[in-house]
Amino acid sequence: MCSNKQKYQVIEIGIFNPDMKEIDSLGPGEVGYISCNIKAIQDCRVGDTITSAANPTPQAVPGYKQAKPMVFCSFYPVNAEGYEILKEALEKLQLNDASLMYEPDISEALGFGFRCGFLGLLHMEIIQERIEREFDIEVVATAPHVVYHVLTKNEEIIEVKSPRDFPPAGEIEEAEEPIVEMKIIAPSTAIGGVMDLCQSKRGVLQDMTYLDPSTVIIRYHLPMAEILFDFYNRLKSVSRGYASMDYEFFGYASSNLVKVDILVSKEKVDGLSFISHEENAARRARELVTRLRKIIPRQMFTVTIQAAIGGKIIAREDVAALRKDVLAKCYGGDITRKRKLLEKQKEGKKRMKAVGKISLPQEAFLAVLQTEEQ
Amino acid sequence: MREIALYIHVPFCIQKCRYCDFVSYPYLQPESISDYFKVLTQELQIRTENDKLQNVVLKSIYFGGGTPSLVSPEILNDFLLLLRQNFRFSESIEITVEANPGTLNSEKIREFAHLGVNRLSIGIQSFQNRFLSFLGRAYREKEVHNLLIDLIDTGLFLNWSFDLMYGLPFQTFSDWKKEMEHLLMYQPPHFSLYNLTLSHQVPLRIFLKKHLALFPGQDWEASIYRWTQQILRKYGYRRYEISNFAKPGYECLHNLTYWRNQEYLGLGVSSSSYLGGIRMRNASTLSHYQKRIKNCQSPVVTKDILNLKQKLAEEMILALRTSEGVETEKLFKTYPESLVQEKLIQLEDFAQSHFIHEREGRWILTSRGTLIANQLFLEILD
Repeated sequence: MCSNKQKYQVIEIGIFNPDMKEIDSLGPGEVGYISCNIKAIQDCRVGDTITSAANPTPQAVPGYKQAKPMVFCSFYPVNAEGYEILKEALEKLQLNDASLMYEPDISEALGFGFRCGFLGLLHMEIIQERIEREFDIEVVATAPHVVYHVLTKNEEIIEVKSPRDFPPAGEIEEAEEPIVEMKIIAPSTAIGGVMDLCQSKRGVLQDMTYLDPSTVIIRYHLPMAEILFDFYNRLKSVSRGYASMDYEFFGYASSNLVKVDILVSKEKVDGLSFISHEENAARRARELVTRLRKIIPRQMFTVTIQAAIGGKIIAREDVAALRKDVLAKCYGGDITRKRKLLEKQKEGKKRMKAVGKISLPQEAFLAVLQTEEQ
Repeated sequence: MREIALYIHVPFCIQKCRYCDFVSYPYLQPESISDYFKVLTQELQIRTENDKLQNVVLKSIYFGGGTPSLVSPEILNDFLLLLRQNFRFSESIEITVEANPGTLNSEKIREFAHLGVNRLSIGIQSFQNRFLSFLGRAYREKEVHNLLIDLIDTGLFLNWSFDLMYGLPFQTFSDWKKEMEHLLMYQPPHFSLYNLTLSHQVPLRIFLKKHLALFPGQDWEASIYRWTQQILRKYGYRRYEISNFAKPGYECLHNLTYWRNQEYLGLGVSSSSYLGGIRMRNASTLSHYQKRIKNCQSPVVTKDILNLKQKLAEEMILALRTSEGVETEKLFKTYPESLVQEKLIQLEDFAQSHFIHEREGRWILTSRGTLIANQLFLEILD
């Protein structure tokens, strides 16, 4: 195996005829299979070159690139019992898809789950579909996100997989985000719409070639984070369904990234932070804060919801204090019933997360995880 | 002497209200009530024996429902006589009958008074037809006024009360002003002011679930509540419990028993009792209840035995409902010091936010705290 220098003993060599048929050797131009005692699926990458251990080739066949997950998203079972089944499902899927990566994850809102890495959006959708169809479990998928690179002032490079890992603004020398090269084939009538869309997604036009007078290929460099949400849909809508897109990873590029923290009654709530490009931060912060105001119920005290970048507040909403409860009579002295009603309310409150004197419902954490532009 | 309060549930109504989730059955013929009272008589014997109530003194008797005003004076007389044979009545006994407009005329009012009933509690809910029909009440404005005029004209009841609801769907400030005008016109010595509460299953809830916006909402309620309280103070009313107002001396003794965490016996289908520190509940359907009595069994089907911590929380919640509040010294006498201390820290915390205040060793809800009392109760309960 050229990429990782692993050595295995070949047990069988064969061709497809169309069933597997054992033969003695495979020569130039021939297609077939080999069978060895490979134990870990990760050792066997698609596109790799196999060579003889006794007489290795100095140069692997060119073109091999290790598949590297670019898009990440977490899966959580809808029921806690589903965790084991989900784990098994991912293990099995990985057996025939070495590019799928996953690691255990825990969320304040959704409990135990897995953080998975995919080659792209299509890959992610396929895996999600397969988990649900082949293993018959319902999963909650969080909004897809990308991995950022941050170079700190101590010249350390941090891979930021979740807002938790993002260092404070003062320690950042430079932040980078993944960029894709996007090829869009569209009818020439849709050029205006497509360019508007790409521009609004922080795209940089590379070139534009006419295939024929009515069809054009437009090449853009776009931040990957921007195409994860609502890009494909809008592309289809601006081109009346005619445009098609294709993208590949281009590289990391320096970008003005900021971490937006959400403060609930002045206390920072970890699970609600998000990373965004500075340009979009204010808009996304306002959207989230407005959504949280609708989700967080009125409580004994006024709840202030603030979005902040470092020490600077960029958005704020208040949930007014509860002014009045239902004041009920108590008929016939049924105190037990009254107590049970209160206990039931208390249960509901316990399921919420306490931040200081404020209780946050789970939906609040979901609000930040799920796709925004719904 | 062991003093207790007595509650008797009369589960019959002419028409079931759309918001009601109490145990009630349609009133079809007078026999259903006379039969029911026969069963009640039997229950009284069983319970006196089982709960060892031979030597108690009754400080209040409350006929609740349902519509107890449907009971004929003869049946009521027999039952009160039976009670006199079994128990001693306290000097200042309060005997209340709940009544609905349309089921009581001046003759019946007189007869009730002669039997020793000394308090009437009238379920009015609203003085306006719109709301009465919306709630599914079986009477209209006219019957309400007729009953109140009869009641005042006979002059036999000094102590009477009625119920009013606020925060109803579609209710506006001018609607509420009308209700208040009527209230001040009659000036009952006591009245209850409360929210419509809809438990699951009641028809009105199913309808209103989709139309929550029709309710005026908590901000509206909070402001009319403040406004109402100011006016009532001028007329000499005092709020002595979360949903009850009275002129001095007219507080309902029976209800105070509940809030003071004192003992009471409940007779009849689905009634609750609190005896010897145990909360109990009778069978909740008429057939089940009757069957148990016929088999000479106690109708009590659920008993709730609380630990000290739960008891303490419950006692505090009940006491906080009243203007008497929680008496610190009394808690220390009844409960382990460590438990009480823990709760006092909570109360002090509430006091810092001005939800309660301490006055002469008692913790009392402030008006701000009263309005969100449930939230405070939730904190106390754990």
